Amino acid sequence: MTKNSTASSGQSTGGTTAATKTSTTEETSPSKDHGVLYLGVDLGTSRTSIAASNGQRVTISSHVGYPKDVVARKLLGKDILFGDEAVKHRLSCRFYRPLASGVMKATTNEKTSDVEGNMKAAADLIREIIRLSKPRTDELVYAVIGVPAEAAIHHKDAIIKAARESVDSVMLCSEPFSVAYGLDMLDDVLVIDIGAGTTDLCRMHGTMPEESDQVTTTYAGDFVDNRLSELIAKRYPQAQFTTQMIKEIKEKHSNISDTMPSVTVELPVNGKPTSFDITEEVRTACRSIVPHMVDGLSNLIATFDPEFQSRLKNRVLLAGGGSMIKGLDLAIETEMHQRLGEGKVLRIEEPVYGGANGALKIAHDMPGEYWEKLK
Amino acid sequence: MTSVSNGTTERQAPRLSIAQMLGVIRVEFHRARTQRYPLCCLMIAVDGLDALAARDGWQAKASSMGATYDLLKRVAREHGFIGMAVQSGDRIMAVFPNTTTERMGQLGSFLLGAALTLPAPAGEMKPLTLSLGAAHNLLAETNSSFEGLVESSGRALHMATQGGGGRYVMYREAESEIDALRSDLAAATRTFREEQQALSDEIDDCGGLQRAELVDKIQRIFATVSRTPEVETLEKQVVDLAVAELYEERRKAVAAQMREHGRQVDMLERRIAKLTSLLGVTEEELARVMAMKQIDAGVASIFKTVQGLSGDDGSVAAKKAMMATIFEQNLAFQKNKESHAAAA
Repeated sequence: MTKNSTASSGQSTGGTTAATKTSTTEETSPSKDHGVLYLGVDLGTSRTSIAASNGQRVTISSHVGYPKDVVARKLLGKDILFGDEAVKHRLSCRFYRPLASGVMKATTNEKTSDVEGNMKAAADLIREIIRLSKPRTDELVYAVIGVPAEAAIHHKDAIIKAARESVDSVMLCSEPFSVAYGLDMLDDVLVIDIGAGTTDLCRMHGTMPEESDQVTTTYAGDFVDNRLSELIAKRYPQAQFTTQMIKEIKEKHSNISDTMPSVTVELPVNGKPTSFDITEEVRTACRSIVPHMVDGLSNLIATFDPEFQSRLKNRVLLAGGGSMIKGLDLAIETEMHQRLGEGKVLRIEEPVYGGANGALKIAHDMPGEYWEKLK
Repeated sequence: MTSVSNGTTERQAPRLSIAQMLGVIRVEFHRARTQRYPLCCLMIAVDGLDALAARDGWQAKASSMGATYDLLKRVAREHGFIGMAVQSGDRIMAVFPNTTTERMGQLGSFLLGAALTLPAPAGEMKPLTLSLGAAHNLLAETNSSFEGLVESSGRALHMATQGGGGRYVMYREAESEIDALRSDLAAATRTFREEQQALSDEIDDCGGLQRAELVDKIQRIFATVSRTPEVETLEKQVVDLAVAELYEERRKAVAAQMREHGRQVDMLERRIAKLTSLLGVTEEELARVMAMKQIDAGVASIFKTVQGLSGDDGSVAAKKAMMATIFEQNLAFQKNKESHAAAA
């Protein structure tokens, strides 16, 4: 049995490494007879969240940075940076957003073609998020990790490999399924999980969803960011900005409502901060994903048993970080009314932790013998 | 020297509070760490301060601390040491940026010397003596945090106080001090053993020589009288008695010398044992603290056993099937991977 003897110093300074150090020696491992820790992990493009049965809930942005050279290493005082810290120091790091364009689906990083680096960054991110849940070395640790249904096999393998270094047994499951399972809505429900890289739509009908029950599109947070960038650049060609700045603006002001408050932001023009009114651009960009979502919903509804289609249309569950766009639920409902005749959208209470909570519940409900067999 | 004191002596009111001064010191510590220059922390205590306070009251204690504080300022100024000091309770803590351990050792010597010039406390014959403990920031345990540096200098001070006071100890140099004591002890033991042997030999040799001289003298006296059997018997008795007395006296003298040697060896051994045990304790504690810093024990789960689906759940059958499907998918995937890896 692989045992964990985590002695990490993620925030340490000096010569200590930021990565979780693990040992697989039987001799040094304590006996794991003091309890069972369940972990539910939502491995997202933008954020990675974990919910644990010890009460820990942590979310970090899915960014990993490795100091570029010795000077940067000295300056940053760490071997690996995670989350916002990595974003902050991205200029002095080899910067990875390992789950870009859907969980490790793409074979290239958005800025580099360093596939191996991407895989390593993803593995380090998983180790870090598990470390942040503060598992005890004397407890059995069982984890369920939510991944998009269409994640490639070799990336699933990388996730499992990384997770197994820190846990005793691990399982993967579909992200939208875990959201629905967490809310105990397993029958005749349509789940829309809007992430940064992908939007996953999943039809639940009392059994495990199959491939035909799931649709994954890239009309998600990153799509909105790109659209917003285009619109701002078109209207204010003199404004200077980066994707990261646009992302921050979107997260702060995203709104679809016709009566949304005006959005004025300061962007540099030739080095001078200048105010720009981007209300219309934000609204248009955020709204741009709605038709694509309803397209996906239409497909899933149209191929469902006609007797239950109406029920399905009235049980649409909106989850994921993208669901925090104000007015999105109403906009989808309106679009559904126009195209499908009816529709009722429910926004989940905790968009950030919805996937992790569901994965945690799956981990809890999973029989012990299944965990044993996967050790 | 920038300084802050909470002492009660009538000195100029400090411009910074203790908290502010500690803030400044911390900033200096972090700057030294970032820019990697040496910084020393010196902890000063007055020897026998508690006894003085018990005898003469808190005023005597405050007055001694005040005098020590002024002494530190004067000596630092005279010898060009730039730093910051805080007096609180029965200790003075001073931090000297850009100061090497050698320079700190010099300051220690200056302070110990200057302390002898201070007037003795009322009712005391001897002047004040100081115990000085120092630590520098170039060790792993003192570089990681300001608290670590202060703790280390505190330990060095403890070492200085336990060593009898009136001394300067640099943290980590205590080990070399013990090593020096050990070699002193070994040398002393060797010397004493040689002397002991020499003395034992001396007892015999000197006893023999003296006995021979004494026998000669006594025999010369008895030679002047006519030799009768009674006189010869008497002469023999006198010689035996004198030799026995001489031997006993010499034995007593040598035994006293041996005892003195033994006492000195014993004292050295006890001091080494005390210092070694002190060092052992501090090392142990340090290791424990370092270990605690790095290893987070974690947060215990609310579950003590593996859970699984509850029978009370309304949709238990459907969920069971779902769990089984998830498991089978994972089993197929993970075991396939393993078999592929094994085959490869």
